[in-house]
Amino acid sequence: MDHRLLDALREIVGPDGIVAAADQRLVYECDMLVYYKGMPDLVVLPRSSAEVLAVVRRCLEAGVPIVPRGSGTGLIGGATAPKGGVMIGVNRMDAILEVDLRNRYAVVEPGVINLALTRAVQDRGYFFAPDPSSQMVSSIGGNAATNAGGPHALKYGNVVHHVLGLEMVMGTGEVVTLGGAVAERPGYDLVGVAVGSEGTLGVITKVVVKLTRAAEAVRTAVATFDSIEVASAAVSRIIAEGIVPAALEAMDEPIIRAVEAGVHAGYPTEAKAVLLIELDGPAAEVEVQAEAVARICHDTGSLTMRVARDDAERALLWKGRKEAAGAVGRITHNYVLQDAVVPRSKLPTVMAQIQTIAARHGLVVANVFHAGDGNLHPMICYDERVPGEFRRALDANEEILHACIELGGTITGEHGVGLDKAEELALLFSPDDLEVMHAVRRVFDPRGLMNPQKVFPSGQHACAPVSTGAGKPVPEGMWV
Amino acid sequence: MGLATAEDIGRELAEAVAPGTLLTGDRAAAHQVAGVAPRFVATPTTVTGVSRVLAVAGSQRLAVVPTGAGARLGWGVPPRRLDVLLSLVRLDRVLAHEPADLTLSVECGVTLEALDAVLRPHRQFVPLDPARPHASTIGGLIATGAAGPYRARYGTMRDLLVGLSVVRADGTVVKGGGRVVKNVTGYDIPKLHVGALGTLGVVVEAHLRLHPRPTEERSWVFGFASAEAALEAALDVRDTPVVLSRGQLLTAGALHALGVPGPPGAALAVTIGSAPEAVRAQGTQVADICGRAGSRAIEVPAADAWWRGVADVTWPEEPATELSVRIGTRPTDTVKALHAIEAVGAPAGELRATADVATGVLHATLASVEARRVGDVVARVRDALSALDGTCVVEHAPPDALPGLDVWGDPGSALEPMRRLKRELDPAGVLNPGRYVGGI
Repeated sequence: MDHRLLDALREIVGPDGIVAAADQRLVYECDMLVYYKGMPDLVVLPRSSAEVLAVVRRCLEAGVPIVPRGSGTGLIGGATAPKGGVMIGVNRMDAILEVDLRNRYAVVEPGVINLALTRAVQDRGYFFAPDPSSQMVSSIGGNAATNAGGPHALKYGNVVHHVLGLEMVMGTGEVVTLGGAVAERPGYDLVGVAVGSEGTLGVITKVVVKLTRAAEAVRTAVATFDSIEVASAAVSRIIAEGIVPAALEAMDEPIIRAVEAGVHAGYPTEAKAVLLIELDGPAAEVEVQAEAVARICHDTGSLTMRVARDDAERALLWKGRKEAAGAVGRITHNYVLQDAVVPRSKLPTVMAQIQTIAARHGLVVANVFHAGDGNLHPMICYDERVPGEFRRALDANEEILHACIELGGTITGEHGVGLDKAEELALLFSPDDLEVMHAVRRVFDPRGLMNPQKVFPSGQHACAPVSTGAGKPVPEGMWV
Repeated sequence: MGLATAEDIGRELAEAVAPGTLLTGDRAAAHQVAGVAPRFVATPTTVTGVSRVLAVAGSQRLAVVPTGAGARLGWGVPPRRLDVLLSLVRLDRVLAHEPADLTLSVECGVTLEALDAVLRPHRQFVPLDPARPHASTIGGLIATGAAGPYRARYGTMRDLLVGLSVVRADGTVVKGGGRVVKNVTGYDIPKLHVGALGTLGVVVEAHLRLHPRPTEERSWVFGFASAEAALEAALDVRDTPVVLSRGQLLTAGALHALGVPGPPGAALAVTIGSAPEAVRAQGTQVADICGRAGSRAIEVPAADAWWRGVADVTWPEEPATELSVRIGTRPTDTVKALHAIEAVGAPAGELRATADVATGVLHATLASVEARRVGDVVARVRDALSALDGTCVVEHAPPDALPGLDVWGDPGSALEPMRRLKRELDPAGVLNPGRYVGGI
């Protein structure tokens, strides 16, 4: 790193805002997808939009890549610096600037932790609806950059449905205000395209988010089935009946075992599949829908159905779900994670195909997923110490992706593209389609210095995935 | 190519669409857009046809105005140039309805009303209830971003559009998004086209998420002595877990136009949709809150038709003398915004206005505004709104008032990236040139 740039950046953010030593930068070399490594030459931790702007301008002058980073809980290699350069960590920008409950919005800095916002408003009956499983540690800036999802995205939508406005330092070195608390601003919906752009357009420095009124009633139940296909069929029928639960999550046998070995969420271990079903809304509506869901599950062949009796039991059922991915470390040494989506009516078909693909490669696939919106998270288990297994896992992964696309689906429902799926983008979009995205990129980041190598296919894998060495291949507390 | 004669262009366009369907001369000129006559009217029946028309337009740098059923064709700045009016009304097929997935794929010329007929038997719907549903195509609703009272619960087209096919200004057909309801694969291109007035491409196919129709919907009107009292009650309702499908504050002028007898100072009209028990329970909660302010509920029979009336009540009845604006403000500021309009252009009691209490979006129509005063009225409304961080877009103005009128207002620092985006995606300025925000 050029020392003049280093000095200039230190001048901007102060000595305590600079992470320069290699051993301290190590934590920034990857996100939660540890296959991809890319250490930044320098990490800066600004405290304000003005500092971000000054940092970006300096980096542009020096022509070095700029990589924004929130809490680093992404699963796509998005917050990594494969070309080096300067990483801008927004963690110190963590103030909730404004809360307006009557108008149901809040203005936050990007480093505010997702759950911290809900905690700030929940005693008054409101919450921030997007709930990626990482919500206790992930930042709202990162959530917005990746258009994160979560179990309750089924009813409430991904983050884009909850972002009203953004302030962003663009790759042109200018600050722009997009949207805001007031609806019907004239002009293009640039908020809509900036959310989910994964740091390739600029650094988000402020977010105006929608707050949601908490429902009158919530009911959470667990239904068990003797196969994941039958559980999936129940999901398809619930949706087809016109019931859109708040969340509708599926877990298969390997996941149930892993969860029960650790969290003891109370999922029946003899079950081959469970559905975690949450209904929320007006009490009388929840009552009626709960009856319908119970009937549909029963008619589809559920074995048991248990309704959480109190908040503690409900929290425990969710704890099992939210920690399921981390728990998989108990049953496998390594895994490859997927985020594909299929139309909900195709769930039973794709579940059967996944099992067939896994069997063909001699691998176990554990499934924990957002069944209600067809967002799959097959975790393809392998042991990197066994020669050839990693390769087979990648092949199985590829085949599953293709199966989902065949069925009318897509390759990522909530994690994003990042480094991990950049090449796969070309499976869904033609060069002409991609050119429109490139055009958007040029508007905001004409020099291509914002988070380079992410999202867009290069025609070759930017950085080959490497199965990690010994240690902890499945990070503790990893969330999908 | 640039030296092609009018005759050459006519021939090329004629070849681009079905034989004998290209209108030229007087037959084309009859299809004016905000008083401007097109040289040609092309009505392709296929996406390929649209692509061919735009390929000709792109190579000849023609000015193209895309249109659906035409309800909102006058929105925006009147065209300075108009070579081709490109009508999408014959792209009106439903391509796929997957009831079990709650998704729908359509060609963009299909109207909201036609879709309702397809979806109603499945107890599903596209939850948009803007004015003039029979003359509102899906493509037009994407281009204008128009929405109605259902936005309180269901949002707008932005929340429903999951994917699309677009023909670019040079005829290239591209797609964005997908067909599934959850998707973060690449940039969310569909959102760029919502409310873009067709300036970035002509949307030809759309993939939408559907919603299940509630088992029952009921609507009530609560009269109040003043708009302030109506708003206060509405905000109190909003601070409970009651889920309003619609929540509109109606002015006395709007109530009068709707034929509500002896209209009170203002009213709050709500719809609740759910299972019958839940509709009843929530209706009681709303009635209790409004009752504390001394208002009693009147249930609206034949509510769908009544709500169409509400959406239409701010539609210009006398295009030559009426001014219609769409205002964005905070829900708590809606009444201040109403008073701001009254102060500059409407005698109290005569303003036809509706305000969405969930989103703070107002539609207001001022009657009998002299054309020469329109610019001043709009400027003064904007001035009053600026203290509230509000926005004001002119949806309709008397034709004589349009020259030089700032229809859109100031988009702030976002204008520069918007201009660059237009230059990137339509460098020749083919699509609706000059009609959009900031001269785009």
